[in-house]
Amino acid sequence: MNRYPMWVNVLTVLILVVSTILALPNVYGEDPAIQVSTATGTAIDAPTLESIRAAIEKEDIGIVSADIENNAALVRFPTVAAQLEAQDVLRGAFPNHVIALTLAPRTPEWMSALGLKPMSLGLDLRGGVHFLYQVDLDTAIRTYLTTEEADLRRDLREAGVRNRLRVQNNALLVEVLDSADLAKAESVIRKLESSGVGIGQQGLIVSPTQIGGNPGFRVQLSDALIKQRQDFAIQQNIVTLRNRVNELGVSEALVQRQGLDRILVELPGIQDPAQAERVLGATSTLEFRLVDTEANAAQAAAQGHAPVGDELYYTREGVPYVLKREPVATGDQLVDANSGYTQGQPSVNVRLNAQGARRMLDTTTANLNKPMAVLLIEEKPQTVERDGKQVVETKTEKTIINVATIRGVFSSNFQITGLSPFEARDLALMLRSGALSTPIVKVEERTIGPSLGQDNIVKGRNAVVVGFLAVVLFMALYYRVFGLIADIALAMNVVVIIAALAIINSALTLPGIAGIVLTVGMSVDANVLIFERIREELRLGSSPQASIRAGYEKAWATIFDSHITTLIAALVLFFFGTGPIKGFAVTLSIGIISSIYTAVVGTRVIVNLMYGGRTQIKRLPIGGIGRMQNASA
Amino acid sequence: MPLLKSPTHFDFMGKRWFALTFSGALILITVISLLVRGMNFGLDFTGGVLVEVDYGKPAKLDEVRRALADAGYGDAVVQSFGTASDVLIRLPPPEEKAPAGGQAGGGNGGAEANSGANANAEAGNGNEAGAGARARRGGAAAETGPTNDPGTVLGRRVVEALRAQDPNVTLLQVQSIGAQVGEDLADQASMALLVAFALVFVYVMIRFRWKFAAGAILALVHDVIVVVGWFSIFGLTFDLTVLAAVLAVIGYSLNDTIVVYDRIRENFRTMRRGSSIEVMNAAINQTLSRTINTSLTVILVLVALLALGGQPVRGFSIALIVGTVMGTYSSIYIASALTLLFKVTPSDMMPAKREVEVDALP
Repeated sequence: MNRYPMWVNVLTVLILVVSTILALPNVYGEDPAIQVSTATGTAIDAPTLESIRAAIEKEDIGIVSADIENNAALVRFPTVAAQLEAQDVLRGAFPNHVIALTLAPRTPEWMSALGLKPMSLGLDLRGGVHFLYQVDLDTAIRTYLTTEEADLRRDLREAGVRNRLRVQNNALLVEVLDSADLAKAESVIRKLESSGVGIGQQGLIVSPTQIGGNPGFRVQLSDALIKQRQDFAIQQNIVTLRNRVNELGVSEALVQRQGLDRILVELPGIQDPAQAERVLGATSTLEFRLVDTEANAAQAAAQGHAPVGDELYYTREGVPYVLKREPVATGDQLVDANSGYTQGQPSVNVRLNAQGARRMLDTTTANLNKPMAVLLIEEKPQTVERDGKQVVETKTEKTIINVATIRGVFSSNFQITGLSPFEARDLALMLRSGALSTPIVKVEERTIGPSLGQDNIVKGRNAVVVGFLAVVLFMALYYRVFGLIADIALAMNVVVIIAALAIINSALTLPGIAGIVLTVGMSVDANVLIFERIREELRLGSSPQASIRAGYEKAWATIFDSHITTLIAALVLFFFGTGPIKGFAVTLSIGIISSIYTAVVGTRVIVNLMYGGRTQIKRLPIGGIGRMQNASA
Repeated sequence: MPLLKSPTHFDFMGKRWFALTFSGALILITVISLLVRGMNFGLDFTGGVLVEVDYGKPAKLDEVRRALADAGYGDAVVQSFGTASDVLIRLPPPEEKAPAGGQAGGGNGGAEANSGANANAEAGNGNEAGAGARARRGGAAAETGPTNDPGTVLGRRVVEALRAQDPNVTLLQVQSIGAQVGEDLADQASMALLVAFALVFVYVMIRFRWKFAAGAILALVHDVIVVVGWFSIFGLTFDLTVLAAVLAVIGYSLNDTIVVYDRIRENFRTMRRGSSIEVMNAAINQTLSRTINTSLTVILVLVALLALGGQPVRGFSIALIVGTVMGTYSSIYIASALTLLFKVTPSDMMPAKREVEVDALP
C-alpha cells in the first residue's frame, strides 16, 4: 500500500523541473532601459551608439550597458529615475530618432535562445498609459444613411419622383410629394434593401409610412448591417491606432477590441498621455488624382516644382509623379476598401459613394488607359524645439501610395490589380485608414507613474514572501513532518503558477500577485483536510499505512468539491473582469487547479517515498496525536 | 465499529437560535447603514477623476485644496493616502453630453448644436472637445483621430494646476473614467454576482439536496451582506478589487460549508441513531479543527497582504478577511441551522447510496 506507480513519481518530478525552468527567467529581473531607433527602420550604427552614450554620460547619468540589439540601440540604466532623465536628454539630442522607454530583461543568452523570458507585467506594475475608446455608433449610422441619401436623391430624380429626403433619428425618411409616383418610388427604394451586406442578408430595412401628411418610406439599418458597420468602425480604428502606436515605437504596446464597441490602447513606459494622444490623433485622408501624362516627371523633380495646374509628389519608394491638382475622389467618398482576388489575381476592391462615383465615371470615361494615383495625406504631430521649448506641430505629409492604369469605365465599384497579395492587403489597409472613419471618443484614461509601478512590485513581492513564510511556519508547527511535506508542495505550487503565467503570456498585475498570495493560503486547505483525516484514522486505531491511505481517499471528494466552488467564482470573475482584475482571476484559477495536483499527488509522492514501503512505523510524525497509542500494523 | 469520543464536543446546534439572532442583527445593522450612510463607491463604478501625487515632504492639504479651488475645482476631495507626503485627489465626473445622444436635427448641419454644448461643459476643456467635434462632423476633411470626452481631459488639467502650485510634485497616477463606463461596470458587476450565486446554487444542488443548497446560499448571501455592511459602516472604498474579493469570498466560503455538509451526510449514513441535531453537532465537531485551521492559514496570508500590500490591495484584503471570518462562522452555524429549519432528515441522504458501499470498505 501507499505506493504510486513509477510513472506518477516521474511525472511529478518532470512537472517540477519544467516549471522551474520556465519560471527561472523571472529570477533575473529587468533593467529600466531606453530603445533608440531610426525613424526609417535602418540599423543604428556604432558611431551613433557612441554619440548616444556620450550624450547621456555628459549629464552624469549612470549607464549599466549600451548595445545594439535588433537594429536599435538599447541602453540599460540602474534606476528608473536615471532612465527618465536620460529620456529627456536623448529627446533633445536626437530629435529625429524614436526614443522609447522599455524594460529590458536580464535573461542570459542561452535562456533567450530557448525562448524563455520573464513574465510580462501589467500596467500597474510597469507604469504607462491606458486609453479606452468608444466607437460613436450613432454617428456611424448617420454617416451611412447620409451617403445613401445622396445616392437615393439622384436615383429618384432620374426616375422622375418628386421627393423630400432627410435623415432623422437614425433613419432616412423619404417623403413622396406626388402620390402618383409611389409605385415608381418604391421600386427604386426597395433596391436599397440588398445593399451593403452579403447575399441573403438584409441590409437596409424599408418600411412604408406617412411623413407629414404625404406617403413615404422609412429606411433604417438592419441589425446585421448595424453590426457590420460597428465591426468595420472598430477594425478601421484599430488599424489606424496600431499604425500610430507603432510609430511611437513602444515595445509591448497593446491595441485591442474590448467588448462590442470599445478599443483599448495600453502603452507601457509612456509617461505623457497628452503627447501619446497627439500621435494617436494624427489625421489622414486620401485623394484619387489623375497623373498628368503631358508633364515630364523627371524634369519637374529636377526643378523641384510642377507646371501650372499640377503638383509634384513622390511615391514611398521615391519615384516622382506629376499629378493634376484637382482630385477625382476624396477619402470621405470612400465607403469601403478590401483586398481579395479578381479573376485569380490579387486585387483591392474599392467602393465609392454617389458623389465619388459620379466624378469617377466622368473621369474614367474621358481618360481610358491613363494612369491614376492614390495620394495619402497625413498630418503628423512632431515634437520640435522652438525658442528652447518643446512644441508639438503638425506636419503634413503627402505620399503617393499607388499608381494604376484606368482599364475600363467604372463609377462606384472598381478594382485595383497588378499587386502582389501583400501589396493588395497593404493598400486596402491604407485606403481604409484614409477613408472617413467612424469617430471614436476616449472614455477612460489612466496614467501610472513608473515609481508607483516599482513600488507595487516591491509591496507585492513582500506580501507573497511573508505570507508564504507564515503559512510554512504554521504547517510545520501544527503538522510536524507532514506539515513540512505540505510546505514543499506549496513551494512547488507557486513555481507552477509562475511557469503557467509565462506559458500563456498573461501579464502579472498587483491583484494577480494578491491572487498568488490567496492561493498560498487556500491550497494548504487540501493538505489540512488530508492530515486531519489521517489523524482521525490514527485516533480510531488504524495502522499508519491504513491511516495514510484512508486519509487521502476520504478527503479527496471534499477537496474536489471545495476547490471547484472557488474555481467557479474565479471563472465568473474571469469572464466579467477587465484589466488588473482579470489578472487576479487568472492567477487564482491557475493556482486552484495546480494546487489540486501539488497538494494531493505532490505530497503523496513524498509521503509514499518516505513511508510507503515501511511496515514497522511506530508513529507518524503528524502531530496532535498526543498520548494516543497507534494500533500495531 | 464504535465511534470514539471526538476531541471536541460542543453543542453548536443547541446555540443555534442565538446565532441566528446574532446574524439577523448583523444584517439589520447593514441595511440601516446602507440606508443612512450608503456605500463609498470607488472610481471604477462612479467615473470621475483620481489623482495621486507625492510631495516628497509632508503635504499641506489646505494649500492643495486652495490651489485646486482657484483653478476652478472647488468640489475636489483632497486627502492623505498612505504616507504623509502622499495626497489623493478625487473629483466627480463632469456633466458630459454623451457623444452620440443630443444630436438635434439630421445630417451634418445639426452637429453644431452638440459641439456648442460640449464647449460649455468644462472650464478650459470645451475648446478641445468642441473643436474636435466640429471638425469631425464637418465631413469635409476625413479624420481618423480620436476625440476626448470632457472627463478624460479633466485629470490632466488638475495635474497642471497642482504643478503650478508646486513644480516638484511627483505624479504617481492619474485616472479619468467616464461616467458611462462606470455605469456599465456597475451593471456588469451585479451580473457577475448573480451569475456566481446561481452557479453555486446549481452546483450544491447537484452534489447535495436542494435543502442544503438553500441553506448554503443563504449563508453565502449573509456573508456577502456583512462584508458590504462593513464597508458601508466604516466608509471604506468599494472598488473593482473589492468586488473581486467578494467573489472570492463566495467561492471560498462555500468551501467550509461543503466540508461540513459532507461530514453531515457521512454521519447520517453511519450514525443509525441520533436526531438530526446530534448528527449535525457531531459533524461540526469533527470538522472543527480543520475548519479553524484553513481559515487561519488564509487569514495569515491576508494579514500579510494587508500589512505589506499597500493601498491598492487594502480594500481587497479587508473584504477577504471579513468574508473569511464570517464564512467560517456561517459554515459552523448558519448553514446547518437553516438546513435544520428546512427539516432535513436521513431520507434526504438516500440518493447517495452508491457512496455508502465504497466507504464501507476497510
